[in-house]
Amino acid sequence: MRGNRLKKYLIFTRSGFQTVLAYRGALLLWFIGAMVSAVLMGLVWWAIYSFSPQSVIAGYAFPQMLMYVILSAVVGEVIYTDTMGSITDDVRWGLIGMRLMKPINYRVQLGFAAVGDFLARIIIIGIPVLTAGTLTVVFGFGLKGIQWYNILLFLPACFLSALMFDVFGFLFGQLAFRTQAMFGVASMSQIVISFLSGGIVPISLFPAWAQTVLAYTPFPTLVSLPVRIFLGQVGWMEMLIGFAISVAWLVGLNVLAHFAYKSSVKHVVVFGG
Amino acid sequence: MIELKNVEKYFKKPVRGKGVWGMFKSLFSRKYTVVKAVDGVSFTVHDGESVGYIGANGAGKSTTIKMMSGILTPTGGEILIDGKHPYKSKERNAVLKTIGVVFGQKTQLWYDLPLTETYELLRYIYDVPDDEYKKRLNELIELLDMKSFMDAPVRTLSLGQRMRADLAAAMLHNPKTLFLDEPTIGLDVLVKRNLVDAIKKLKAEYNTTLILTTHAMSDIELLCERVIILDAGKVLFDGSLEEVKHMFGDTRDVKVTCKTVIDGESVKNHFGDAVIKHAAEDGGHSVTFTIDGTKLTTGELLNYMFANYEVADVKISETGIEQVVEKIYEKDRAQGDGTNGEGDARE
Repeated sequence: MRGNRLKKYLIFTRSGFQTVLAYRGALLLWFIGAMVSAVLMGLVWWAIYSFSPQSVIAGYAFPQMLMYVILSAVVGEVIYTDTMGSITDDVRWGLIGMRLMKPINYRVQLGFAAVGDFLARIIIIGIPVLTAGTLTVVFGFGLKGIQWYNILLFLPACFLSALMFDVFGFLFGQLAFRTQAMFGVASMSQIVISFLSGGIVPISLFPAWAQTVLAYTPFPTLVSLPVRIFLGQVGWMEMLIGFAISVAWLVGLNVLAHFAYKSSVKHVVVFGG
Repeated sequence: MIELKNVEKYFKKPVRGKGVWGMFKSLFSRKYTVVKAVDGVSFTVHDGESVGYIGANGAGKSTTIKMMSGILTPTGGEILIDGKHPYKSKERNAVLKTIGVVFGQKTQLWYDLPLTETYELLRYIYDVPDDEYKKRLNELIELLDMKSFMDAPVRTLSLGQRMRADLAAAMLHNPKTLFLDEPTIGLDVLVKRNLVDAIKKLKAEYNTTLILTTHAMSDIELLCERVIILDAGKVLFDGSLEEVKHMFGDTRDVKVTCKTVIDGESVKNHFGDAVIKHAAEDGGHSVTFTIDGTKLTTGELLNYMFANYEVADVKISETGIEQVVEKIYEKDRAQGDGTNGEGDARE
């Protein structure tokens, strides 16, 4: 019976994967989006490095910074699972009632779909962009010190980030039950989360006090940790602690989201239909 | 068996002030009114029955269905589906596996997935055994004529196709009870007829209990033996379809058109109170007689007309459930004390 139950939810992972494949245009746009963002940020940093008297900024030489920019663009595309979008759509189109009428847990269903979403994104966008980017920076700009085991460890780190983003999405997505302004909520949270997690500039550029504060939040584990693992900046001990912190945050946030959901769901089905 | 025992559902609705200042105040105010969406509804539906659950917009139909399907918890009273409460989290999944739901205005299909994938998904959700799944799916594809769009993503289907697909999705796990909430809304006559026929066949084959809410009375007449009429959250009527039809007498309208002018009054005098009323049109060339079917047959009236006038055209219409329901609402509104389920404003 247990296996069956898992199968029941794994089918949503498959459907999450398939949903990503359903829109060829969107895939292409994500692909281009990741490239454009990496190229633009690369140019900005190129300008900064060429005008700066230092050749190393916040611990990064130019090739490393270029790799950072590419990696954070890729991580940004692959971990942004669409849990919030799913809730928003379900609520706005009045489908939430139909979803809740299934003998299945809505939250778990969304989580499993997010895993499928993540897998599709990392296979279709992540790996090609990353391969091209790494080869360019290693052979074109002379980046050294990339280890195969760091590349491998980057993947589970991204997976944890995707789960974290899923729980953020589930938590903030519940606002759809109470407000119509989900576009604002979505873009706002995306920008803030991206900035605080090192998706725009490395966290090591932040003032010391901000870095200290951020260390107590789940944000650095989202983008900064996988990127720094890839670059080989994270020792084994730090990596273990990082993963442990991620998992702890995941558990905590999911518990919080669970209780928030219990209260949100009472709001849902009041509206007509 | 479905049992509703004095079920109530009250919603708190915040009182919103008028104008900018009023709306601003309501940001801070805690005043609300209590809306009694469902107010003491009781009925029992036995296995295999088909019940038309009807009422005006806002009568509380959908709220009842939502409570029966476990997404709303009643404020008071009790709902039992085969002895289990659909809204209690421990019993919920067991109940949900035995019901199927079709909402005409909403879809339960996954928007971006092809139909085949959606059904595969539903098969796992409802633990349908493999051989049973294949057998039933093929049957449904055949019956609902879905072969041509099985591989299309749901978002590309037409409304008629989507409704058929939704019905199939609701029947896939062979539910004991099927809730249909306005299943034919927005469909053209032909598609509507096909859908109703399919529902009829499915019901006959699987002895599914059917609860149908709709504004299309023809659906009720074709599908249901029993009718429950709801108004302002209360049961107004619960009985057989025949009873509803005869609630306001078994009347029918006969419109007779002649070359000469008809003396309606003399016809009425001839038959006495068997002719309830007569209305002339077209300067008296055309008269509609409303007759009491228990006292006078259409044939008797027509024989008399043929004997006395040069009849050019005849049109007969029986009072359908539609007119009856209309009358029931009118009567209720006239009698009602103006309450529409709104309670007092409270602090």
